Amino acid sequence: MKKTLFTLILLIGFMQLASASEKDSNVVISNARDIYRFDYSKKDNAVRIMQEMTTTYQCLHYRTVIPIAEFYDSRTTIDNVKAYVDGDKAKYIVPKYEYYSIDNIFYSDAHVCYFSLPLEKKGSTSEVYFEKTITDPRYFTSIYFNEAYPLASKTISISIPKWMKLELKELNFAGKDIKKTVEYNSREDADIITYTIRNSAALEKEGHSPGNSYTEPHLLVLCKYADVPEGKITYFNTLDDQYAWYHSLTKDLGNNTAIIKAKAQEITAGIPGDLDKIKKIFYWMHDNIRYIAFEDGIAGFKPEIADEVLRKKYGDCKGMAHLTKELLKSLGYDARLCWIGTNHIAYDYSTPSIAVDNHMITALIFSGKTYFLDATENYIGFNEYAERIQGREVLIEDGEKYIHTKVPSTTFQQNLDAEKLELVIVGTDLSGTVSREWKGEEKEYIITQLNAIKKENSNDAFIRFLSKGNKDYTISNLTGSSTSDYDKPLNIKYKMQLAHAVSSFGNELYVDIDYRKDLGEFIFDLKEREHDYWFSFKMNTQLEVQLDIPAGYAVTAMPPNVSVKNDDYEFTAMLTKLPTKLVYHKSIIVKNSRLDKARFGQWNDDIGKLKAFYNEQIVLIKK
Amino acid sequence: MALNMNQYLLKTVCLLLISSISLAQTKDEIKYKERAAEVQQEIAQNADKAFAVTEIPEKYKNESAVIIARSFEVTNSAKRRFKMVSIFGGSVKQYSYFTTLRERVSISDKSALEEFSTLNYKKVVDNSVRVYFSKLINTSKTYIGARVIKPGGKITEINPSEEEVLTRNSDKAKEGKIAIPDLQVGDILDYYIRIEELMEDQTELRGPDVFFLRDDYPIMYYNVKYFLDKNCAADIMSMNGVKEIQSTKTEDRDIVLEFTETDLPKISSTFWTSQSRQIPYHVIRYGFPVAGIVAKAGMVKTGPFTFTYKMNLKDMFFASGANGGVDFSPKKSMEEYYGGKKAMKDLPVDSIVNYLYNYYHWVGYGSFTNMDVSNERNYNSMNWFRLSLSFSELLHEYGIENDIIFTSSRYAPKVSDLFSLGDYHAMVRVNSGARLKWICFNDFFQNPGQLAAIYQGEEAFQMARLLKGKWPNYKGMEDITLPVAKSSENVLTENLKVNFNKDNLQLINIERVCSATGSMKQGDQKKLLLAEDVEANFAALIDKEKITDKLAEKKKTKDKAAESQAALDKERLKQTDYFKEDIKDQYDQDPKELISYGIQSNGFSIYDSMFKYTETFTMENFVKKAGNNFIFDVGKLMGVYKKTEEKERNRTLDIYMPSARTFIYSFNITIPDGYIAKGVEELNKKVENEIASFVSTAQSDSNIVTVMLTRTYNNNYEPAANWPKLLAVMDAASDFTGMKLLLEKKK
Repeated sequence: MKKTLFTLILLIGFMQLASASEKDSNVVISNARDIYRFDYSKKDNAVRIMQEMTTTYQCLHYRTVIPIAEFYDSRTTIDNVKAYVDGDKAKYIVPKYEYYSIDNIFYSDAHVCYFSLPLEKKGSTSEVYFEKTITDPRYFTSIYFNEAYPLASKTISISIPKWMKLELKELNFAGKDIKKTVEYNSREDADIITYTIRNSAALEKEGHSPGNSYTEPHLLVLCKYADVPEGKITYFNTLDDQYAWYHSLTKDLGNNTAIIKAKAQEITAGIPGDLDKIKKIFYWMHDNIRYIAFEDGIAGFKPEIADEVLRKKYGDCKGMAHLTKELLKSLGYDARLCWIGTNHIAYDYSTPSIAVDNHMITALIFSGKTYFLDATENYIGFNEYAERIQGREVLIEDGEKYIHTKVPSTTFQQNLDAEKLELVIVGTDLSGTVSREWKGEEKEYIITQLNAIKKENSNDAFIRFLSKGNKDYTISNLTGSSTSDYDKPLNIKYKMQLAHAVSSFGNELYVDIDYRKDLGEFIFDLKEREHDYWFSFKMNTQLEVQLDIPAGYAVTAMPPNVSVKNDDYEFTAMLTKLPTKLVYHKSIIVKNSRLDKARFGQWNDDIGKLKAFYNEQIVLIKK
Repeated sequence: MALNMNQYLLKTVCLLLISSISLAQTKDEIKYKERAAEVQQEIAQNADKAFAVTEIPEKYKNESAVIIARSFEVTNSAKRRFKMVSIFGGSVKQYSYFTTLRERVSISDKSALEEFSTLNYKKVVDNSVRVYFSKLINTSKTYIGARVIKPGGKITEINPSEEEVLTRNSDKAKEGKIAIPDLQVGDILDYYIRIEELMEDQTELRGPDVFFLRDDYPIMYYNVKYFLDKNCAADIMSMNGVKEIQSTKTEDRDIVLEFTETDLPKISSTFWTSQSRQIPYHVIRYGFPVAGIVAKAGMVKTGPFTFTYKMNLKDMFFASGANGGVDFSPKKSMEEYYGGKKAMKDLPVDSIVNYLYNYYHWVGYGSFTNMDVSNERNYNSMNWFRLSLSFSELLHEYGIENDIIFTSSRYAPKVSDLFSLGDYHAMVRVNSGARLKWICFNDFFQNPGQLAAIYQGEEAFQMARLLKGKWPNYKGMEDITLPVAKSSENVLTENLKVNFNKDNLQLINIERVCSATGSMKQGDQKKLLLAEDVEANFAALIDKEKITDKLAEKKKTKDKAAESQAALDKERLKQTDYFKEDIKDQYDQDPKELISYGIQSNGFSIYDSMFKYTETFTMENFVKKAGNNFIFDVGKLMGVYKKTEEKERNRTLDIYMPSARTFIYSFNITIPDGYIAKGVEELNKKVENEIASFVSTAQSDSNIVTVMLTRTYNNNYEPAANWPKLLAVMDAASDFTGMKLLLEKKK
């Protein structure tokens, strides 16, 4: 993960958490000014961005104290902080500067400056002023408008001297009250571009929603070059420049190739086929190298030396990609590093910027085909792709050049959760055998969950998962394929007994054929949900139940079949009556992992059909 | 431009300062590294042979991780040193505390790998202060070491200085993190953490350090050793059947405390247990004599210290009472409430007790002027020592006999096994014929007179307040046992009226009326009552105005009152969610719609102590279509009641339940027109034994089906041997949740 994006997420995420913004907020930002100015230091021959932020908070209903947090790292500094309470400088407020620890990131260079800001009474205002410096224009990537509190007015002013070439891309402005003015300041020989946003809601975070770069109004800042007296300093004028910078960080990492080669040979010893060797290396990475995230300054872009990753048995995405590459390369395969932005990011390489990337994987060019290997996807199979990288643009290293292409998009068929039950009625229980198979990201999800549990508890947890936590669902004779053979589907078989699945009244039996009821309660709150819903991955759930009709009984009623098909998803629930059996087939397919908010109503209606099916029983009457 | 002399001097001093700082830093770092190497060597040399073990017994092969060996060692000493603490010089005492934890862990799966793969530590903490020409040292330095042992025996030493990242790096504080390299499933991780603390002219109580002899993982070898300076004092205690800590002295009269345990199984079930009475443990407290240690300098005392603490408690109450510790504020208010001082003489004891109790709770509950309006304060506790003293003294003022009672929670060690004075709970027992006998301060929602469930059946010490004497004057302590409430005193009743939606028979409407008494109500009160209402209820009981109303009357506080009210009004909007959550907790699904809700009785008053609330809502998923008929999951009306898991069905630990209690459910189900109910008779069940029962009766009358359920647990404690009897009742209740009714269309 790279730091720019990470820091942005961090900032927005923290502010949301810290302020717990609510729709009827007690605090609003009555006014905010955000000023950016470019400064050239002849001595360092470097361009810096000076930022001044002034934010005025207003208390609407009752006095309170709000947390203020501003982030900085090895490429940004906080140079001055002032706080005013009701117009008076609050000298008693002493900002604290600390390392900022984030879940799932072992270490980063992120730091936070924070303090508590009182709003003394209803109607009162408090103001916060920060001065910051961004020491390298490459790291000046975006300016967001919205804040953790509702915003009455905010101006963002960027003074761009004529010697500085940059492009501002206005994103997600639609429907927002944002005005732009441009004026020339002859004294500074600079264009002053000013945006003003009015009456904007606080940032809202919802699970499974697109990243902020898709939804929040912001400026994507593309610093291209500076034409300064000492000569031209090029940042990312073109994608070539961006790659050149990346390449400069990765071309001479100083690996000990002998160690790598010895390890690669040890891993693949006795394996004759090339493809099998490649897979073995990839799966060895799954089993032996832990993912630990580091985000540390330039190290946020520079992979760890491959033999160091090998020694430590852990690495971040760059380190893992690097080791994968070097292991394969040492065996003579054409493996390369790739820069990629996961689907959390709205941008692509048409806008050269470090904000485009947040991940690194390995490309393997083999037998005329390019495969992408993401070693951080712990249990995924070879040539299978996680949703987060599918279809994403990727830069593959190619010496001084690069290959600009895309990771393939796969369909729902990559991911499978297929279950087959053969059942008989025993009293008021259903009893029989079950076989189940998982593939792709479904398989990866299951294995990830199992490995997160202590092994002495994993069997119980697995049974709880299989029974959906239903204590009436008992499992015996559970057998399965290996959870560490990532190349094959995961298969299990077991015997099951589901108590109370059949209700018996006189000569009649009532059967609940679907114990799982997948997605039965998965409806959207149309009033509350603000954003589109993004599934973790495309779904492909198949369920088949074969139920023996007890001798002497006849099926007199069944729920009507359900069939929903559209471009985004398909739901099918179908019962077929055979002479001695009932066959139930259910298929739930989510073809498009991104469900637009506009489709929520239709989705709810379609889930309603599925739910109606689940809530209807099969009736068997004694002849 | 030439510098003037002052500027020159200033620059020179600055430069010198900067270079000396950087030199000092380098020196510190070198010193740190040298010491780290010494510590590593010392730990390696002194290791027990248990730290060489690589084999895991067969019985632990399926464990996620096994602690092969764990040692915990403390060494302290005191030395006198000359220091320039004043212009005349002088000596200070330097105390050192070295604490070492070493653990050797076999890692058998990725879950354990994740848990043990990183170490976080405070590398350096420097709280030293400068006094005159010298500084008083107060530092803490942490040294880390680790090695990874591969299955083949290959050992990789971890060099912390190479692997660590510093998350804080200032002169005064350094914090670090290490991700253990080359650690994989199947490996053994052997690591230590040594903390070296130095303090000058500052002693402190250390501990209590509690060593439970059960952990999340089995422990094959566990050694704890304390080497304490001869001038140190230590209190120790060993509980729940464990052999005692060994206490010896060296030739230099230094104190050595030690215990070693082997083959300790991991912790088993925690369901209905009282861990500190059921898990063996040792506890150690030490220090150069300071308040809080029973032993004298150079001595070791073995607890429990009941005799000493009984005297301490008495002294503490006397001293606190004699030194202004009594809150007499309710007196004036109470006398006004009852019509003056004279009128108090004729008042029943219970009236005084009731007023005082409500007054102290009202004051303790607090105001909203800091805009803290969340009902999280419903979970706050009170200062039972101070309140017991005050309550007792005010009773004494009116000639009411009372006792201070000291006990402990059922989920803590018994009162006779408490290790620290602060572990005691205090309450008041009112005599003089009071009906409101027990005055507890553990919970805002305890009614006056009611003995809290956590104290029921407990051993206790009774200290009678003698009527003679202005200052607190107490009789000696007597041992007593606190009573246990019957199951009929702790009752949860749920009356449900169920109707089927006429247009959609698969949607049911439930009117739920819940009422709770005794120990069954506090959980719901805390969850559902708003802080504003709690405060108002307490105020009303003693005829006071709500705090916001009172503040609103004064010009000075009017604005604050309005703001508090605005915050409270906003908070009130959340109550809907509290009720929705209550329904979800009960039925494991959200209501389709919450139509109405309300609290009928807050349960605060002794005259109406039942907590009662109503909810009207609609639910899906209770009714399934079946041809022309419908199947109704009538058993689900009882709420979620899960079957006891297989692994919990065998039990060796005695059973600590929250209280003796009764659950009563009544379902009044209106069968929709055009349908008849079948399966009513099958709802009649009875499982009963001497400790618990489950009884359900059902009948059909016209279009109404009535179901009555009663589930009773007669005691709050059962020996493990009674577990099968409890299980029988619990299984019956669980089975009932699967019961169904057929709504058959009339032909």
